[in-house]
Amino acid sequence: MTELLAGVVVALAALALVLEPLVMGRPRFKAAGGWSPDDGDIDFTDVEESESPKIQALLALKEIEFDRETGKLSDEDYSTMKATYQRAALLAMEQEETEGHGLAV
Amino acid sequence: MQPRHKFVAGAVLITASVGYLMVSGVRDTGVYFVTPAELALRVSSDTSIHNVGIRMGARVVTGTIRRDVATQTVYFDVSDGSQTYPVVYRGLPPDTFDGDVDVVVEGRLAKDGVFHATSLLAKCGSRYEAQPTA
Amino acid sequence: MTVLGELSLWLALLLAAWGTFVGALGARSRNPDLLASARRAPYALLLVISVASLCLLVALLRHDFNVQYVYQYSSRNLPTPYLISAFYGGQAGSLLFWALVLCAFSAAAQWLTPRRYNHLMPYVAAVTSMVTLFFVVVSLFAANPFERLQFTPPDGAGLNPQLQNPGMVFHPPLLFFGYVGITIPFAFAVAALLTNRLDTGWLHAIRKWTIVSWVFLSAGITLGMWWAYVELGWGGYWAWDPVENASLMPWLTMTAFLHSVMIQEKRGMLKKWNMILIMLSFVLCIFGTFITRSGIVSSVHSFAQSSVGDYFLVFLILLVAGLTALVWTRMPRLEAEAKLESMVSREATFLFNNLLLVGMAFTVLWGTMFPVVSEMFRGVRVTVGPPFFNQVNVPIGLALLALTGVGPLIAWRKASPANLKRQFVAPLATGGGAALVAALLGVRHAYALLTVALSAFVAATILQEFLKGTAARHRLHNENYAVALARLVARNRRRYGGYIVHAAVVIYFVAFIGDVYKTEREVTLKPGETASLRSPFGHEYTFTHVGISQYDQLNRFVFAASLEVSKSGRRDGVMTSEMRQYLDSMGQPTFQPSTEPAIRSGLLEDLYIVFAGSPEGTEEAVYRFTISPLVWWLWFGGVLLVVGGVVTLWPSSGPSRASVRRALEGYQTRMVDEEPMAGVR
Repeated sequence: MTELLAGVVVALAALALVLEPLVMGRPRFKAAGGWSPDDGDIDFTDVEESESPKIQALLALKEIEFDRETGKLSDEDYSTMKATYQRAALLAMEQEETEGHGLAV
Repeated sequence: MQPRHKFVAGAVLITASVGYLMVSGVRDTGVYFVTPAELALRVSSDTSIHNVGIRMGARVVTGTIRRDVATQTVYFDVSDGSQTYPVVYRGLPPDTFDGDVDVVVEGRLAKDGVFHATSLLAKCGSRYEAQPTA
Repeated sequence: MTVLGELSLWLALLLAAWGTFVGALGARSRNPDLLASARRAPYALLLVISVASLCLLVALLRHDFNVQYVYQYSSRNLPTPYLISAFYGGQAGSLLFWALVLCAFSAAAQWLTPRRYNHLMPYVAAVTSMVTLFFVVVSLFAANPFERLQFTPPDGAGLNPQLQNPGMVFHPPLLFFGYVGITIPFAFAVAALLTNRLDTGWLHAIRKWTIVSWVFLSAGITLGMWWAYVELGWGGYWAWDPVENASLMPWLTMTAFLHSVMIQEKRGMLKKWNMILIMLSFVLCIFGTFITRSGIVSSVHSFAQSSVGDYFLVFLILLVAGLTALVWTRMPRLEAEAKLESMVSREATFLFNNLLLVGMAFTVLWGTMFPVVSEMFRGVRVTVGPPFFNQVNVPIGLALLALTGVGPLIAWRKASPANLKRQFVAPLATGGGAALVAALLGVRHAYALLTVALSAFVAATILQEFLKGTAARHRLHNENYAVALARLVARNRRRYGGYIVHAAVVIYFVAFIGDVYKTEREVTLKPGETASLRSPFGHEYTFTHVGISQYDQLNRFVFAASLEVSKSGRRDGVMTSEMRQYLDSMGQPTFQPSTEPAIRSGLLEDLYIVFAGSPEGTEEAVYRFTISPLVWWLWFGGVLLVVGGVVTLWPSSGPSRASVRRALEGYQTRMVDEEPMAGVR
């Protein structure tokens, strides 16, 4: 008997949890979302941010610089690549300036 | 050559090597897996069966196990219900080896009908299932 | 407690179906209330499955033998830790445990995923609910842990002695965490496909989950090796049994995924391949469970045959069909954004590493399924055993080991010959030197020599990476070497954590060399008699049989055979190997006697002694002496692997806004200083 009672309690709790958004209609996503740390990472779901030419070029520049320092890239390859990515970064930054929607990094 | 073509060539090489290893592996190490009944059928039709390695899966007949500790040899019969073969195994049988346990023996069938096993695996009455209590 | 347990399972059935259905429906209609409700399903499922699990645990602890499961897997005199492990020791319980872990993981995924992935989460909930639904269905209709017997036996049948080992308390949960962990990335992949949000976003959302499940899977497999080694008494740790292969296959494809995913993040290539890899890993998990529980291939330690296999087969077929259709319809959206720039680039080595890993997984699958395949196509059952797997996988494994060393030395995008030379000189010299030394010390086995050379080569590359990276930071940022090293690892946790894992893999390979030099001898000794065995490292061991003692201990009767051991003429203590006869609470023997090997582990070699019995009524003992070199390195490698995994997982390792801001500032200042930039403008 107590077992059945416990079962009813569990059932009610579980159903309440699932059905609350439908019945109350209020809490919507925020309540369900739970704990969302703002980790300061680049938002890769935001194509504007993650795939912006500026960020892409800057990440690549950081990487090739480190690769040259650890001796994986020859100076020659490094300078050609660096020129390419710097041009890309500069163009992107200029464009942002003229369009006036600089990304808040 | 384009980097892409070079890469495809490398990929083909790797795939071909893996494929070769698999085919040659099966050719070199594959053994027939039979039940006692199938083995009996094969023996009657093909005498060359005595020269190849065989794995036989069957159940140990209760009460036939005889252990000779001095020579570390085990003698027992295996059966699948219709056909029975005597088995000789030199070595230490696994923990789970006992009467009425499924075993896999690997070795050769001698001309006199005795199976000389070089390896003996006993199915753990299963690792997870309890033994049926008699 | 079975009423409550069974009730909870039915509730779980309802909730899982609800989560699946509402998730799909809400996604179609974009109704936020339905989506919110779907996201609640994993929490509710966790609640009810926990209640069900608790019920089974209580039944076990209370010795309620009227419950069939409790009767089958426990007994009154079973020590409490093993009572708890009996929860996942049998078929029905392990399926329930699987569902429990799955619910915990899916609830955690809903809870911990940052808010910016909200558009994916309802679908993730729907997929995890769908998988939960499957396990609940199997639990209810094919393997119900709450089934009652018609009478109450006075005592249970007891837990198999081989499961009464600390390794078996921890090994199955770890392996389950690994298997189940893969469900989360899988769910995200399906969610990304369903929403058509195939940017790199979902890859970043699953990164930690992928690594978590991979680390658990690796630790679970290693612990399984340890258990097999200390408990099964045959002196080895890996037998290429279908059960072992089932855990190895998803591990291999996950390893491939961990690498190839980096290419997609960095270069936008391999989108289809990654999608297929993650789905393959999940399908292989289910497939592995299927082959071990259906009896389709004979394994030394499979579960008893039951209808559970049929359920898995149907699920597997539906899964493969559904996923194929899904990927097929999304093919155009999975086109690559970049091209391979050079054959000599890190991308290329990653691609080769992927091919080898997947190839290896395929050979393992092929070998495991060969009896079935050959019977289907040739009418005869042909089986392949360890010789096949070794012959095929040793070369592939060595090629992979070589790539482990080569990959990190090559830059992304493109590398030039001069730099390659500079990078490779020291590691190649180290590898060659190590092989030379080994050969001079008497190593003649070709594979062993090659493994020595490659291990030293890879170890040198890892060391070089750490040294050069530290030096580069020292130069670029003017930090002293200690700070530079700490920051190097802290700022690039994934890369350097990965290197630590690579080092662990090298250590595993070193342990594998030992297997070549395993030495064995079986002898029967009377008290006072001696036998001797020479180890590969040149030590002469002498064993003197002392005698056999008998005593009661916990729930077993023990025959213990003791030996006086001496190493190269010097006394080295006593070793005792046991033969245990487990008893039920009435003192009647249960199960066959099991052997408990005596093991003395060392850095170089393990001494492994099995007492296999004694002729009736004598003090003679049959022994098997085994010297297994380098086995200890496996366990050490396992620990290091987990350390590397933790370094990688330590929070906040993604490219952060802060790091880009720093880079940006650097370039802005430099743009003013540097001449060539003016030309660009």
